[in-house]
This record gives sequence, structure tokens and C-alpha cells, in this order.
Amino acid sequence: MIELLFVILAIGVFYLQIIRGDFYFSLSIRNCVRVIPFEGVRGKILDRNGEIIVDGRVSYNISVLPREFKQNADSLNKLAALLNKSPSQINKTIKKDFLSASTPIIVARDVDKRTAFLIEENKFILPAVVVQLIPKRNYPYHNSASHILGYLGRIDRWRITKLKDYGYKVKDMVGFGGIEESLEQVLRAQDGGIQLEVDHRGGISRVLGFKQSTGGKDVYLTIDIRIQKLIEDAFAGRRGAAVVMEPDTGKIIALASFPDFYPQMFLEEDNAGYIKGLLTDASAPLINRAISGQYPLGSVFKLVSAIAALERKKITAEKRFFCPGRMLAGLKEFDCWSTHHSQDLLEAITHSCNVYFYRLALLLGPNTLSEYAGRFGLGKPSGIDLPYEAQGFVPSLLERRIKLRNWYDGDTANFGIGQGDLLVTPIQAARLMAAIANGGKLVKPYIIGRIDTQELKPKPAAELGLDAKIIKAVIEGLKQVVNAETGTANIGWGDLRVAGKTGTAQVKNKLSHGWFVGFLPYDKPKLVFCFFLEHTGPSIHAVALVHQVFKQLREEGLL
Amino acid sequence: MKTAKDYLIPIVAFLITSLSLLTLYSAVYIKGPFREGSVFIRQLSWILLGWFAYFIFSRLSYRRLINFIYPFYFLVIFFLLLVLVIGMMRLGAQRWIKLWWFNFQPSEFAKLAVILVLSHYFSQKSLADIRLDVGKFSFGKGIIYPFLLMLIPFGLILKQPDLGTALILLFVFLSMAYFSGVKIRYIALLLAAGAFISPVFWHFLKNYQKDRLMVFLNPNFDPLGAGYTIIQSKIAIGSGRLFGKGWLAGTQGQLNFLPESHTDFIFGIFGEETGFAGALLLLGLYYLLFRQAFTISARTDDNFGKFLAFATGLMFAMQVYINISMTQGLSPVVGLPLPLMSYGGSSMLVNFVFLGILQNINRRSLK
Repeated sequence: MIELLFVILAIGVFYLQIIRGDFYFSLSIRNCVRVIPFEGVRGKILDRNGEIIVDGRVSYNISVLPREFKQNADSLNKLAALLNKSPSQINKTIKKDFLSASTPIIVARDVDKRTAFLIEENKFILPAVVVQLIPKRNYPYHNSASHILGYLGRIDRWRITKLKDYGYKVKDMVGFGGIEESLEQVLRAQDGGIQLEVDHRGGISRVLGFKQSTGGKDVYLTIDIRIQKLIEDAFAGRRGAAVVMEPDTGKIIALASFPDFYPQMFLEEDNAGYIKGLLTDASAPLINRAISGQYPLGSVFKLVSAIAALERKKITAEKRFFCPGRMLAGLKEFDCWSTHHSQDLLEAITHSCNVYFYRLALLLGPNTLSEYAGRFGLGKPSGIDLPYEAQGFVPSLLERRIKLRNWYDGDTANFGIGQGDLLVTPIQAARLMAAIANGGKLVKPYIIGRIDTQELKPKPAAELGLDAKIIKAVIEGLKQVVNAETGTANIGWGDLRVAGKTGTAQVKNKLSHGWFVGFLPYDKPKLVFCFFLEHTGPSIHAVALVHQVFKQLREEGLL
Repeated sequence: MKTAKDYLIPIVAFLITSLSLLTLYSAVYIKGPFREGSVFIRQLSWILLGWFAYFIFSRLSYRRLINFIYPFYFLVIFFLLLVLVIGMMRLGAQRWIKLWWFNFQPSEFAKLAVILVLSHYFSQKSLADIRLDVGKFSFGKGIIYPFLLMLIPFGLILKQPDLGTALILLFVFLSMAYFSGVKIRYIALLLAAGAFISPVFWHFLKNYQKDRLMVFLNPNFDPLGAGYTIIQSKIAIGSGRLFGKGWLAGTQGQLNFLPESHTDFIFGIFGEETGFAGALLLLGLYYLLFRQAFTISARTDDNFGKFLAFATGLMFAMQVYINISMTQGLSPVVGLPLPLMSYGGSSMLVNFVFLGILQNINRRSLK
């Protein structure tokens, strides 16, 4: 039995060495097997109209290992001929960029495919020459949509543990943040290569093995890059975020965040300074503020208070409160931003009266407010198909108790107007507004429209079961905010038919955040928007920004 | 009376390790074989350490090992677990633990532990009956219990992942069960159950292991990865022809065309430099070694020694077969060293311990 195994081995050796010996000997004597890798091209990312936002290609850099290279006088001439350069040119580069004897020096960048292959084939004569494959990505819109896209960088330690089983290697480039990260597996190309038998002059005599490289799949986003670009330009360098979305489906039309960055920079060498700047910048340019930034919502939250109060029948829409400009809640005095005198709910929304909503909040109590904030999707991720979404924070009595801190009436009053501990991401605010615009459905925002040929369907929205009459009353208020003479967002909207709610979120010792969240047209909502400006003062700046954006979109026929 | 035949084991081992040193020297001589930390120097010191171990174990009565079998077995399992835990904390899979200046590889010691434990288990006897208990055992005691003894290290080694060593354990277990007289239908039942669940097993294989199996079926499946090694290895062996290219004259191994040429694929360089004549010589030496193990097994009255010698011979033969057939492209590349030839400290040491025990069984059987 065991003897049989030894016989098999002997026969195997006999076959290889005696019968096929001459063949293998001739292969070996010419040292003739070369492997030429074919790098596949990473998938493109396009907008909903098929406009390319990122596309990929492979570029080849030629480097030499200086010590070995110098020992080999022939290789310099040979390489110079292949690269179409003079030997002295190459020597100059080597001298200039010399770091240490074993640090590769790039002598030619972005050479064409043919040259790269020729050098690979002549590896035996050019032992100290290395062909490096550099995946390139082109960003025709430069910084545009950078947070949605993410960037491509050298794989890090944490990612390689996760991805090793999928065939990733230490020097691979992988997506970081955004679509590049979440759809890494889809966009990624499968590398192939060709194994050649070459003769002693480097000519190909036979192909031994071949594996086709396959390009990554293309991803189509739901955004419209023209709208995206226009919004980004309108921000004019101010910090903040914007979300534009379809209220019925949650389809994202634009999603911007500032400051932004240029993803290309992560792919180029000698950019350590720029990248370090991005990583250490106090304004955190790599954070996608639209989904990962958490801010106090300010008066936009009054809509939640109003709906809660109407639903729980604490008041009717006709209920009037008197605003003397300030109010006592518990032992502390709370201010309104103006003196509004007697007004009903509609007027209170229009004027964004704090006193009215302090009173509503005290009638409702913190538990009901937390409950309604939760129903409108605050305090949990919206579920958008982008990585690193923040969940925000909804304060609650229970959470305070757990932390052994007291809850005061003042906290309730603050909660009612969106101040205090409440933290909301812009996408959550947009989703909240979408639920009002579409008559009470909490949609799941999404930004990936199509992968290759596979169309992605919107996720079903959650029905909130709100009374249609209540929604109508609130929408009426939102209309007034923009269109009434005394509305907080009335800056002459013409025929744009916008409805919305402003919010000025106060921040200790700093300029306040400005929000403007709404939809248009108000009779048959097509788009929900949420614009947020970080530390730029009252909400009127955000209102002006939205005004500018939609005016321009109208002019360009994009609305 | 002592004859040359009684010293067959050390003589053959000496010859094979000498060939190993010559081949390793050739594999690394371009890089300088005597430089500090070189593979050649390390292998030389492991072989010397191995002879030391051989000397001790061939003089220490192997029956005295029985007291240490289970503690040793559990120690090995502890180290196998440790490897997995450390592996998880570091970048994924690994097979060894760094101990002082060498990489300690517990899976090699697991072979020793499992063979000792199984030999002991199958050689149990009751006082009333001179026959072995195994024949009377129920299904559970006869096969399931020893199977579990093998399965624990098997699973841990497979998880590392080290498919080759795990397979060796399985082979050894099955042949020992058969050899010791466990009822055939029990073994058949176990095999049937195994065949039934093996498709499930496919899912537990790492992607690269699947790839390797696919490459075995079709080397062009992955010409850049595992397929490349096989093609290069075949070129190296084949180009040796009848008498080889001569010592230090191989080109495939020395110019780094053949990856892992000093570990799993050492037969590639050896075949290239010594040709068909050398390959037959090496195969012959291995054959003598395993033949001697079986002779000792047949000659010994003590059942523990009988099984131990049988399993040792079988394990050597299986490893030689799997390794050499994979370098020839006749079986999948599973990553298994060639005993006494491949570079690797743990493996060298364990093999010498095996040979020491074997020689000791031989001495006692002749008394």
C-alpha cells in the first residue's frame, strides 16, 4: 500500500525529469517565466444622469533601486532606450532624488502600458528596475461631492484584517469613507495577469497562463451633480451642510458638506502635508457634516412640539398664548427673541415664538417630547446608505435619571424649542421635514440608485399614523413662515412656493448655527431641503442661501 | 548482538539531514550561508539539537512516556489555543508563537501528542484478557472517543489554517483505528458521516485554500498565485533531468523563481540539482526509514510500542508523499514540510523525537 505511494512518486519524478526533462530544462535554462500583472480598473461613480463624477484608470511608474542599478552598467542604457530618455537624464533624476541605496527612485511617471510591459519582460536584464502600478482616479468635478464619494488610500492595518479573506494585500488601495468605502467590494477590480515564457532576449515565445482582469462595477448615484455643484458653489466657503431629497422616496438629490477636500490628493505622492492638514484641521474637513455632524436643531424642533400637542389634544390650533417677551419656567427666566403678544399656533410657528412653545412643552412634559422626537426619526440613524452616520441625541427623563442628574422644568421648556441637549444631524432634519411634506411617512434616505445594471428600489417608508388635518395645519404654518409679511423666512420668494421653518440654535460663547429646513412647492412637494450653516449667526443666512440656490436652479431649469 | 541494521534509523536520518543541509546551503549561498541568522546556520543548529533529542529519547524507555502523555496532550492544546488567540489579536492567521529567538510551531508537536495519545488509547487491555479491549469496544468507546481526542487538535490546526498537518492527523487516526482492530463497520460509519458533512466543510475553508484546491484541478486557475509556484516547481524538478545540474548550479531555486524553496518546496531545488538519480536516492532513504518503522512495529510485542512505531512510520510516509506529490503538481498545495529536509525548527525537533522513540522501541524489541 505505502509502497504504491512511493512508486507513484518515483513515476512522477521519472515523468518530470526523464520524459519531460528536456522541455523543463530548456524552460529553466532561459529563466524564462515572467509574470505581468494586469490591474483591473476600479468602477466609476456616476450621477443619476450618467454624468461621471469619478472614473478610474491605472498608471505605471518606473522606479529603480539605486545601488543595484549602478552595479549594472548595461541596464542604464537599456532603460533609457525603453523610456525614450537619455541616460544622463535618468542619472540626473537618480542623483536628485537619492535617499538611500535601497529606496526606490521614480525615474518615469505615468508611462504607457506598452513601455511598462516591455520593462517587465526584460526584467532579467533590468533586475533593479521596478514597475509600479498606481491606480488613478479622475475627479472631473474636483472637490464636488467629496464626502459622498470618500477617497482611495493605502489599506490600513484595521482594514486589512477585515478584508484579507477577500484577497486584499498589504499594498492595495481601498476606499475610505463614503461610497468608495461602503461599495468597496463592488467598485473593486479583480486583478489578473499573464504568465509568459520569454526567450533570453526578452521576446515572448509562449503564454503559460492567463487570467483576465475584470473591472469593478459602476455605481450610479441618485444625486444630480449639477444641482450638487450649484449648491456647493453657493456655500462660498462657509461651513455647514445641505441635503436635498425627494420627500416621498427618500431619494437624495444633493448632499453637501463644508469644508470639503480634493480626493485626488490621497492618491498622489508628496502630499503628506496636505493630508496631514486635512486630518488635523480643527474644522474637520473629512467629516461629512450632512450625516455625521450633530448639532442642536433650534426652532425647527417646534414643529415636533406642535404636532405632539395637537395629537395629544393638549391644545387646538386656535389656542392662544400671550408672549410678553419672556417667561418663567421653574426658577429661571426664559427669553423670547421678540415680544409677540397674543397669538395662536399658526402665528407662533410663523413668528417662531419661543414663549408659545415653552408653554406647549410644559403642557406636554419631557416624556411626550422624547417620544415624538423618536417617532420623527431623531436620536437614531436615518439608515442612509453611506458609512459613518451619526445617530444624534434625544434627551429623556430616563437618561437623566440614569446619569443621576435632575431634570428641571427649564429643561422641558428648552427641549420644546430644540435647545438643550438635543442633537440632530442635517439628514435627520431633512427626514423630519419630509415626513411632514409627504403626509406622515418616515422615509429611508438613499443615495445609491443603481449598481452596474441593477436598479435599487427605495426602502418602504414607515407610516407614522398622523392625523391629516394636523399635518395640514402645520404645513399652513410653514407656508406662512416663508410667505407671510411677518414670517421669519420672508425675503421675497416670488413664485417659488417654498414652505419651511427656520432655526437659530444658540451655542455657548460662539456664533449660533442657522437652519432652514423646508420643501417646495408647498401644494405638491417635490423636494425637501435642509440647509445648515455652522457658527454663522442667525438663521437668516441659511434662508438667504436657500433663496439663492433655488433662484439659480430655477434660472438654469433644474427645478 | 548488534548489527548495522539496528542503526539503520540514525544512519538514514544522518544521510537525509546532510542532504537537507547541502540543499539549503545551495538555496541561500548567494545571500551568504554563514551570515548571522541565516537559514543554513539555523537549520544546522536545529539538526544538532535534534540529535540531542534523539539521543535522550532513544535511551529513555518509551513506556515511561505514558505518564506524561496526557499532560503533554493538554499542553499542546493550550499552545494551539494560544496561537489562535495571538493570531486573532495580530493580523489574522498564524501558525507559530515567537519564543525567544525561534518560532515555536505547536501544530508540529500536536502530531506527536495525538500519536502518543491514540497509541495509548488503542493499546488498552484489561487484566482478565490478553487480547486488546478495542475489539470489544462499543461504537462510542471504540471510535467516537478516540476520534474526539484527534478532533480537538485537528479543529484547532485547521482553524490556523494549516490544512496539511490537519489532514495528516486525520489519516493517522483512521489508519491507527483500522490497524488496532476497531470494528470495520464503525470506521465505515464514521467515514460515511464524514462524507455526508464534508460539503458543509467547504464553507469553512479560507478562500485561499479553496483557490489552492481549484488550482490543483487547473493550474491556470490562478497563474499568479499558487499556480505560479506549481509551475516553477515543476520546471525546477524537471530541468534536473537524469543527474541534475549539480550542486550550487540550480537556477530556478537560486534566482528566486521558486518561492518557499527552502521550506515546503525544497524538493524542487533538490530535484533540480541532483536530478532523477538524486530524487530516487532520497525516495529510497525515506522508504528505508518507513520500512524499518513497520518492521519494528511488527517485531514488537508491546502493543503501545507497536502502534507507536506503526503510526510514526505512517506519518513519515504520508508527509513525504503529500509534500513530494505537491511539488510535482500531483496533489494540492497544502503547505506541509518534507520531514528532515525542509527548513523548520519545530518540525525538525519533533521528527528527531519520533526517531528517538522509534529507535528505543527497536532496542527493546530486540532484547
